Amino acid sequence: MLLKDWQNIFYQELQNRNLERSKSFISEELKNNITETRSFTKESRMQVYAYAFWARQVDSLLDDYPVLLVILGKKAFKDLLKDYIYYYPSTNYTLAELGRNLSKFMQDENMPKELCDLATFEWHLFELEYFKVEARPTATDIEKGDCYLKASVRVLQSDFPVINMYEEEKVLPAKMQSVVIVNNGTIEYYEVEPEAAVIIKAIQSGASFEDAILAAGDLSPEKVQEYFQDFMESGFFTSEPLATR
Amino acid sequence: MFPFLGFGLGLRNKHFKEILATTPKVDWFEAITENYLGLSDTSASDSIEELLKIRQNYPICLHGVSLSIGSADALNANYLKKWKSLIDIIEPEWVSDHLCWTGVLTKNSHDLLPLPYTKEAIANTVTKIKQVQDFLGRRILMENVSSYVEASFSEMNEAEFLAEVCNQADCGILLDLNNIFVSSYNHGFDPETYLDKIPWQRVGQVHLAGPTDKGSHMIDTHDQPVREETWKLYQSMLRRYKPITTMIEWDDKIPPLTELIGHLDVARRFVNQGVVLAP
Ligand SMILES: [Fe+2]
Repeated sequence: MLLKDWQNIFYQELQNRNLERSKSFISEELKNNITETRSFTKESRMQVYAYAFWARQVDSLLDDYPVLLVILGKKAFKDLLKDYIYYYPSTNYTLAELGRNLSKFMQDENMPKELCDLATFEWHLFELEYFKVEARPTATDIEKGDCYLKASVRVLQSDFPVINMYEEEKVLPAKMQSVVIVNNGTIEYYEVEPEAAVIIKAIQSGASFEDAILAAGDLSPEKVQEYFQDFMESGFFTSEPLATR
Repeated sequence: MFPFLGFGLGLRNKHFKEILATTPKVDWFEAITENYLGLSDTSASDSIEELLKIRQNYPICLHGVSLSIGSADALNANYLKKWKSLIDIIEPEWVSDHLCWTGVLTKNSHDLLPLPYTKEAIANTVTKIKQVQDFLGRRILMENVSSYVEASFSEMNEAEFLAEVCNQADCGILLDLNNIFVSSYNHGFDPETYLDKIPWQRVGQVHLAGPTDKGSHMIDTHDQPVREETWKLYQSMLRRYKPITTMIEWDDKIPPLTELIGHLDVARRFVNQGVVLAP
């Protein structure tokens, strides 16, 4: 058997066996190409790998989404995660990337919008831990124009109060909420006005500050000043241009 | 090929603060490469700063789990680039990964999966190791893994495969004595015959760990003390060759640092005095 065939059928066997699935072989071809001893059968040998494959990935995701785990309950959340891992198999060198598409998968599965948004929120809290803390701009930096949106800023505009759902660990009735999440040494999140979220999103997509402000509609100069003061105080900006980070 | 660094431990988050505060009697630390590579779209994460602090007082080796050197897939260029940048920052004594595959067709199982011991697999792995060594500009070490499944179409045994790959690729060996014990138990071979085949001058480092005994088989869980059988292999190694840089891996149910140092001192005493003492 060629190396690539061995690896394909071996990986398929892992992917097709679920944690609680029966221990019998799915691939006859694999079964016919491995050895066994009397006390340690082919089935139990493969089960060692299958168990590790599923348990390692599911456990890793349970850690990444602590509030979804509480809300859905361990059994239901684990079942969801197993389906997710099956349909979105890991393609990255790090397990930390594994949860990136969970919210998208939940949307594909037509799960309630509030849970999908909560998944997005928890993903941002998790992923931003991996970002470097970017220096805040000083007054001189700002005068020189060295003021940029941090790479570690995420914006979430939801029809549900995700912050409250996260903090209270339960589903709450619909209520629009715009949230900015940022790494300021610790991961912080702020509820902002919808217009402020539009401005941050526009800057994130490459708009100049002026164009971003225009994108938010007809805002008074005082309002704009108030928003930017809030952005500064909340640590959304840095003096470090993206290329040097 | 590789200097003797003494007796080290796997660097685990749980012990970070204590190591920085007390500078314990450990000769060097092995850090897991992937813990410092960040996400695919982030640059170096802040955890590197912490590793650099440890680096001020201890030699560091980088040990990876995701190279997937034996995969039929091409090497992952993004992974290699990130690994190299980390090496440039940390300046480790050496870097290692496992002689196995972790995924295929771009999918990753996040597990160390067994290779068939065939000439085709040797050729594939040797080519990849050479590519990695050329890219990094340094020799890497390949570790033997624990296994539970063996291909019936293998053309040689695992020790012969390991020796042949490392000789042809001109790389180092990270010999995991616990993995040899676990695999020998699971597949029913004599671990001493494994040691017979090792090109010792290539072995730069030794891993020790403790598996979980399932009766019919052993699982490589790294959550137990080193077993008597593995200490015997350690003594056998010392009879066959000179002292080799040694470390204990403990990844789950991690005991206090002082206890780990106690286990490490057993190896230290074997080397220094040839005396067997309980930790
Ligand atoms: Fe090891």
